[in-house]
Amino acid sequence: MSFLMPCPNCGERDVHEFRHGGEISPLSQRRSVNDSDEDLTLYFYFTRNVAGETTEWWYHSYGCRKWFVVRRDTVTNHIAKTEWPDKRPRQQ
Amino acid sequence: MTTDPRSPRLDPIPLELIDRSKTVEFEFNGRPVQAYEGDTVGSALYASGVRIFSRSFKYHRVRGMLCVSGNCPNCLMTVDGVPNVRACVQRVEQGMKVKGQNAWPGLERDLFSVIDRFRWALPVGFYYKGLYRPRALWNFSASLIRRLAGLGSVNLDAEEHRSKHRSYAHADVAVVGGGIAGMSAALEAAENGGRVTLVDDQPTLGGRLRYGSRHQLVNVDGGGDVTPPEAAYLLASRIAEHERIEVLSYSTVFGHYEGNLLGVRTPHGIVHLRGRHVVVATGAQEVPLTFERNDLSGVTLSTGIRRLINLYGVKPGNTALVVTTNDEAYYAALDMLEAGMRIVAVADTRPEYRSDLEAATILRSKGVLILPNYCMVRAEGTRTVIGGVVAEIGPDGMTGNERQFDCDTIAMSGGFQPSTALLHQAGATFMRDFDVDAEIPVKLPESVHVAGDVTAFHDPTISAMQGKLAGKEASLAVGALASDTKLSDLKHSLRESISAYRRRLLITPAPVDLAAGPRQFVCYCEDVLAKDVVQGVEEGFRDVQMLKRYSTVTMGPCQGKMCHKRFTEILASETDSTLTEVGSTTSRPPIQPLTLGELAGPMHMAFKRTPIHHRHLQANAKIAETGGWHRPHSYGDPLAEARAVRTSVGIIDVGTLGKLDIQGKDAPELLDFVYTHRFSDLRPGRVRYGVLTGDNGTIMDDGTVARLADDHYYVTTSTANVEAVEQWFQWWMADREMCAHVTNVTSGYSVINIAGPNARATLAKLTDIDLSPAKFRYMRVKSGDVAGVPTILLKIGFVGESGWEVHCPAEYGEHMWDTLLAAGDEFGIQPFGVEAQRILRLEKMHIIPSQDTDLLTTPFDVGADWVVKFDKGDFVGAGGLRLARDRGDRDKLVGFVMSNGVVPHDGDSVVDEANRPIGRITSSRLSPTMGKGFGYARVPAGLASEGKTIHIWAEGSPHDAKVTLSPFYDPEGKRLRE
Repeated sequence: MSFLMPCPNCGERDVHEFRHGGEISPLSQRRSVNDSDEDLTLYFYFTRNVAGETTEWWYHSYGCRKWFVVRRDTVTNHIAKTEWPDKRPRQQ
Repeated sequence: MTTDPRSPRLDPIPLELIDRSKTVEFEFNGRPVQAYEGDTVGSALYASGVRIFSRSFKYHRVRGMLCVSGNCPNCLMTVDGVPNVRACVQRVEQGMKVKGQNAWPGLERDLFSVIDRFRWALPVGFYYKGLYRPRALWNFSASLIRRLAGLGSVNLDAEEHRSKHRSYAHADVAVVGGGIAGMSAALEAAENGGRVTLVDDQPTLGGRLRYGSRHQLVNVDGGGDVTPPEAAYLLASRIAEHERIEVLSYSTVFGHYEGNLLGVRTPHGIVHLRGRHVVVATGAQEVPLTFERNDLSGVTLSTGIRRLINLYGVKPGNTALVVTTNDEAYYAALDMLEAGMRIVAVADTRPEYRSDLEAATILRSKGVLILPNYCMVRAEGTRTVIGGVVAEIGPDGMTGNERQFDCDTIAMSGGFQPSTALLHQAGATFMRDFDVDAEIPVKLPESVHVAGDVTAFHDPTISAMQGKLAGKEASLAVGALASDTKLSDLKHSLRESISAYRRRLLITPAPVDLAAGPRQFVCYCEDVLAKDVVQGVEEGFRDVQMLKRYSTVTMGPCQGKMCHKRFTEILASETDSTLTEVGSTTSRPPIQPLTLGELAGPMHMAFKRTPIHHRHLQANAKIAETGGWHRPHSYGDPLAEARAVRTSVGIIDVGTLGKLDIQGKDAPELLDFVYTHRFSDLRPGRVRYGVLTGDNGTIMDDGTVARLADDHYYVTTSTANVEAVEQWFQWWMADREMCAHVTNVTSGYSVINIAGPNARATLAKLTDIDLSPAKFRYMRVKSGDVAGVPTILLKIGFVGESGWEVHCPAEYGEHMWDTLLAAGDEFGIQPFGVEAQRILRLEKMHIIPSQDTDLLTTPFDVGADWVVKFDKGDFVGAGGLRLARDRGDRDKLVGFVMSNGVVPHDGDSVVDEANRPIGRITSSRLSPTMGKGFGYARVPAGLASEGKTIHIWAEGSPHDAKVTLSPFYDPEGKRLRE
């Protein structure tokens, strides 16, 4: 992986300054304590592994140490958008 | 051998690379060699009469100079202990030690060259065919082949293993190649406001302009016709003066990676250069012709000859035969003629005499024999060239009409192969253009541009225009250029120039006459002969990729720069395919060899040290690497240190503990959410132990949480985990949109833990804070001065004795350490290290996350059910812990005490009656208190009850141990509260 990540706080930086926090998807939506065992297991251990546009968490470990939300194409690594978490789209 | 630098050189010419006023002396195989400053090792050796530069990979045959540009394998030498240095581009330095390699005893007389006589026994792919059975033969032959074949050997003790620097650079426009195209592109982009980095692999900019003939005048930017070296000088000067152009000379781009990242090998180490736009102006590589004995020393590429003469003033020989498929070699003939050499003939594969070529006219006027429609058949000689034979080309290949010439130099040009490797890596698509006899790029990624000979047009005027256009387009794209009025004009005139070029262009690929003899080399790196390629095809390897792997052609140090063109031509003709059908091998990085040291870069394991580190060094502590820190393992005797803590008082530097300061109105809510425990009800002034789990309920970390005020907590984490915990807190805060500040203050505080029966008496001397058990109770926190320094004091049970964690500003660390040692002197205070701490904490059954837990361990598995508060509402881990609770017990972490004197190791197995492993020792030590081996083990839940016997496999046999569920030492925790 080798591309520039536009951090909403620091601007464009090498991707190696960042930590990837996983996809924000229906699978990663936090479950409640009494959801079914199967559903909880899906949430804990499975990801969708999308080839294409995804919405993801990223963290600027070697910079401002802020979490933010990125719209990235996993095939081309094209970054369509980065934004602060409170602006992120909510999934139901 | 002559060592006088003056006699063999030609008269000085303007803009040559050598400075004849300065001489340099270096050593070659132990003998001194004189050179001029600016010489390369290769040029100086050539001038001093050396004609054997290396021995080949397989046959140990003699290798002479071939490309003189750092692209072929012929002059690899060991320079100052570094193997495989390209002598022809390595500049000489005073006192340099140069040695030949892959030869024994020496380059001139190499006993291994006897292999050459057994060529018949070593056909293509011989190691697949004959050496694999029996197995013992393969082991023997593999070790023999490894010794005989190959390149230089790495000296593992050499100084050069010191790590190389690594740096990162960004440019609006990165230009690869410092020829006329690259220089034009760089200037144009920079003049339009772009920041440009220009990378060139030669010592000076100019590319082939530098050795161009005075008969090939060029026009730079309408400034009138000048000679090519003058043009190079003019452009290079403008570049040097330009504030927006940075030049990396003597540097090779070895790969194009995602996002226009270029790997650049510079003399100072690797540079990661990222260009918003990249202009590839890597030029083209002249390739050899294929004829019998085309490997003899003295058979040189025509551009190599021109480099020797025009850059270094070296006379290549006395008598030369020139053989070519194109116009370029005529200029080499002219250069040699003007250098005082005799040209016996120019043999040209093209059918007609080139009457419109000025060089041909001049040559003919000076009486040089020009033979159109002739091709090289064989060179004569055993080590160096003594003659050559050319033959007339008939309709079906070579005719018997041969002509022989005596000569000591053969200048050949088999055409030019565009250096497209970077374009391939960037994802360009290509199409074969039969006019120019090469693949030309037809579709490029948006941010990649091309210019110059790499586009297969071999004309400086076209190159300059292409460069200008590429520079303009690149600077337009990065928004540096305001207007593009001239863009269409430029495109138009470029199109016209290219059409004109195509009209006058004529290339006739040379036929390969396999009947001319068995020693026609295709691949100079790996000693692959034309007949080997043919045989490979006959054996069924008809695909270019398969045949490459089978024959190893294109797989040597030159990576196909010399051989790819001829290899694919032979393959196409043998398989009756077109070159388009044959395709090409894949160009992967690195396209130019690198050393592993360069790739590894410098050692970046920067260990952290506490503010008291130097006190430990003064005390001769044994330093251990733990969790990214350097910290004292012990001060000599860990068991004695542990005993001192139990009986009197000890101090340990625990500045490595992760420390987070958490403030804000949502701080209680945050901690309730991320910990399994509850912290919103913790009263200010109190401390509570907490466990962090992932949402799946497995343990991440543990530590103490002290509440300093309603909206202010002070959290410690384990040494190695603070970054992860900080990220974790920040993440949930971002997700839940909470209002709090999490600040990592690990390096801001020095922390010393003082513990033992005399800890209070020691500490009381230094502070007014009432330390009495009634006033400063267990799990309490107070702030106040200790030793005149503001501190946070935590009374916690770190090692199971009454003690305090003293947190003070980092700059007072040494002062605090010294003062505590002095105050405890009367009690025999003992500094203790990580090992004693480990023993003491194990006796108290304090787990170490990730030592005693793994990625599946829940708090229930370690008997810490009490830290999980399901009644507090949602928290991280709630779902996972609910699942774990419902599932019931699996493995449990239990204490064990050995029944005999054996002390197992961390990681030993717990076994069943049949000695099958059923569990694992996670921590094991000798207890100074009990005098026995003891520790933690993971066992099946059925064995996890007090007093059960388990079997531990240690030192080769099973041993009995007793399970215990409560701490080995002071199970009621009375001592902590004293």
